[in-house]
Amino acid sequence: MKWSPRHLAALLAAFGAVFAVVGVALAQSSSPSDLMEEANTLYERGEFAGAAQQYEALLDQGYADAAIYYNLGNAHYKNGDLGRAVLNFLRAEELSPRDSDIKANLEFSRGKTVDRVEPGGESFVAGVSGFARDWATTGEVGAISLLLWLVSAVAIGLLILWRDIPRRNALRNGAVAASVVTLALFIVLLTMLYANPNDDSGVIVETTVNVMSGPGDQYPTEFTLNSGAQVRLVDSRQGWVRIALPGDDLQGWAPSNAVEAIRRGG
Amino acid sequence: MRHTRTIRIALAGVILAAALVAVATPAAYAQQQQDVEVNAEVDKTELAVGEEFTLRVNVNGSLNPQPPAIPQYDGIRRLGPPSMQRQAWIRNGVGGSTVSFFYQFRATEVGKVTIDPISVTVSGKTYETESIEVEVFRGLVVPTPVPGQADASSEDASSTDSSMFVVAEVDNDKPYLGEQITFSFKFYRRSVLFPAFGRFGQPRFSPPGFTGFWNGEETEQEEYTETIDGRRYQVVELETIIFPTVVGTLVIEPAGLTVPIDFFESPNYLETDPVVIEVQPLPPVAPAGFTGAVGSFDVTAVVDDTNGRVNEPVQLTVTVTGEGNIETLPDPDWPDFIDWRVFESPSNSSSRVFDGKMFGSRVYETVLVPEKSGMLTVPEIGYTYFDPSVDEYVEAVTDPIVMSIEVGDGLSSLPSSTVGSAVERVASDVRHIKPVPSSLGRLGTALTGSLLYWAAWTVPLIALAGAVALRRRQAASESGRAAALRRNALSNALESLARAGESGADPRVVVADILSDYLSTRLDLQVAGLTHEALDQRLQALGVPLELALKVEGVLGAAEVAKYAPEIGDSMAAEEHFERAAQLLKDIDEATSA
Repeated sequence: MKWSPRHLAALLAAFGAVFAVVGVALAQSSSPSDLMEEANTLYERGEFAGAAQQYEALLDQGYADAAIYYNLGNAHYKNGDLGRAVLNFLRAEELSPRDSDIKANLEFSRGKTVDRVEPGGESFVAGVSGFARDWATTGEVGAISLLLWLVSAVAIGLLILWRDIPRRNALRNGAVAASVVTLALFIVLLTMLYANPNDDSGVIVETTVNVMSGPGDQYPTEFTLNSGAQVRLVDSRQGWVRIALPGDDLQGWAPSNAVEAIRRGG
Repeated sequence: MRHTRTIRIALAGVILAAALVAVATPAAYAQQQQDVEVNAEVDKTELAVGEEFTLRVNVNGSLNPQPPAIPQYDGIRRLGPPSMQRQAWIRNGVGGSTVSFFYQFRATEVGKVTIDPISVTVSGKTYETESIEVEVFRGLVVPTPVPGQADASSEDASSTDSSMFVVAEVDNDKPYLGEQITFSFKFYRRSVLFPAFGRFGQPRFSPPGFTGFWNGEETEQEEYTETIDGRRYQVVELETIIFPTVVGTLVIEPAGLTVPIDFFESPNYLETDPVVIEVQPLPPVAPAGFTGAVGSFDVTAVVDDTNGRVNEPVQLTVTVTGEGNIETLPDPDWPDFIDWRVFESPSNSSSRVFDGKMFGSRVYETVLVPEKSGMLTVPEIGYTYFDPSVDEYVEAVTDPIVMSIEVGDGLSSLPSSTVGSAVERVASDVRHIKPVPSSLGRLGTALTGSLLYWAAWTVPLIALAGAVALRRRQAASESGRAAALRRNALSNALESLARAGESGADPRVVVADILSDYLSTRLDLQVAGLTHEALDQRLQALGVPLELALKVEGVLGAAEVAKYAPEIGDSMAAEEHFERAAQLLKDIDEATSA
């Protein structure tokens, strides 16, 4: 087929139309940053429920950033949902444990909760894990320990292969120190992986929930918890979740919709 | 035993009945014969504050009068319930009866007290006494610690009076306003009579109210023994520092002590007499700087640095120390600090009691900021107080402090605590939301959840294992080369000897060098620097006989002579040196191979 100028013009027009449609579509689809900006604007305008929805939408898209959880916690707090505020501040803290704003808001919102759940009954391993989690994430500890292990290995390798290496004593001392720190960090990493309290923890998100002795309304109420109380999730069964307070002295069953796991989707 | 007791009780009943009959008969008779008369009397009409007196109401002509109602009087205080006494008598054939009611009072205020007519009802008819006036004077009533003066609430006071009592006293009953005095409460008990004292509980002290006094610190209790009228007492003394705050007559109300005795008796309550104190006003003409301090004080002033810069703060510490009421000590009369800006801060004080007196210090830390450069003076600071020990006003003065102030940078670096006030939170809320981060994290597999991450841990391990293997291989290779050299050491040395003559060097030196190389290669022995003895020992340790070792020593020694004393001639031909050396090498090789 011979290309005439008419054909060429038609082809260009078709390309232009395709580009236009794609451009408009791209322009209409919001980026995650735009979504968060929009949510922040809603928050600033005092539309806290709308802001919370936007933040939730971001999370549903697979984003998991401490800032999103933090802002979501704020939106829930401002909207009067203390339980979900605590829940999302906890999620934010796990992702960014050294963030002072997150710590402050978590402490502040916990101070507003009705139930004073005293920590206790945790094992030594859980204690070490909790202490480490106050300072770093599992990923950070994992990365630092691996990096140190690589450094230690290089130093040891040089000592093995290069008998007459300069500053041999200094290198040897450095290798020993790096190895000891690596070992310590590795143990801490294992405790953090073994005992992550957020793996089996949840927060009461209903204003008040009666905790029954069994998974059903026919069982007697053993105790009552209020919004924001952090509990351990022990078991679940047909719309009911078995929860326990620290020390496991108080255990019982609560409706699943009254408790939300800290581990999102858990 | 039980019969005897029954008989005794019966006898006592009979005697009591007879006594009642004996009293009642003439009394009944007398009542018929006698008119009713009522009168009242007191045992003292003039007494001092704190003294006690007894009001007695007598009803003549009736054995069953109604007890009179005694109202409360201002200036005197009734002590406990009344007691009653009945008397019936026949005199000269005429019978009579008297019933007396006794009321105990204690004077509490200076002045005249009028006891109004007291009404007594007998057989439905009311009789009245005359009014009585009692005058209470100002005076000191400090009970002397004489057994029997204690006011015990138990029924049998006489039995306890001599065995335990309490006393209250002050060390100065005419203090000046604000002068410190010591109130002492003393508990006397005879330990002989109370061997089990304390077993049934400790005494409980009820301190007086100290109305009109600033109540200071109570010192620790002191225990000692004291002998009064030949009786030995255990004394527990509690001292309280007090400062009169008003002028005039002040009465320290009675202090009490509840003393448990045993399981079966209710505890005794002992009470001191009130203590009257006449507080004198301070002398009227007080100096200008006097702000009310009473006691004995000294004042000092120091600065943290006598060199400073304009607008840079200097700390002035003024300390008032001495004896007196440190806690309520008035501030000094601050002078005008010309050329200084002054930032005062709250003072702090500390006090302690020593030997019954309160001592301490009050520290004023003031920040001074020089406003200009040059030689500035912190003026003298005076502290005027009234010293009761010398009855006059005294002024303590600090020395002026001269300071060198240089030109500063014009910026004040005042400590934040000295300017303004602490920021207070008026409301609380969550911290504000965060802005959008540059990149949003995504939900994904955590680093430690990745298999690749754990595989990475094994990489260094594998690499290290490889390094160790390589090193071992290197070591084995080096070891093989060394063994080959050792094996060929003799032949190499002999070859060298064969070529030694070509070099033209001193054969002794050449032979010694070849021998040294041989020993180094064959036996890994470095001969350089070894003494003769050490060389012998090392060679023998390596299996070289002493005879051969001495020959080695001889060869090496000859080389030393050739090097450092060439003028000494060589008596041996070069060939002979080489032959002997070859033989020595062979002998050593043979000996060490075995």
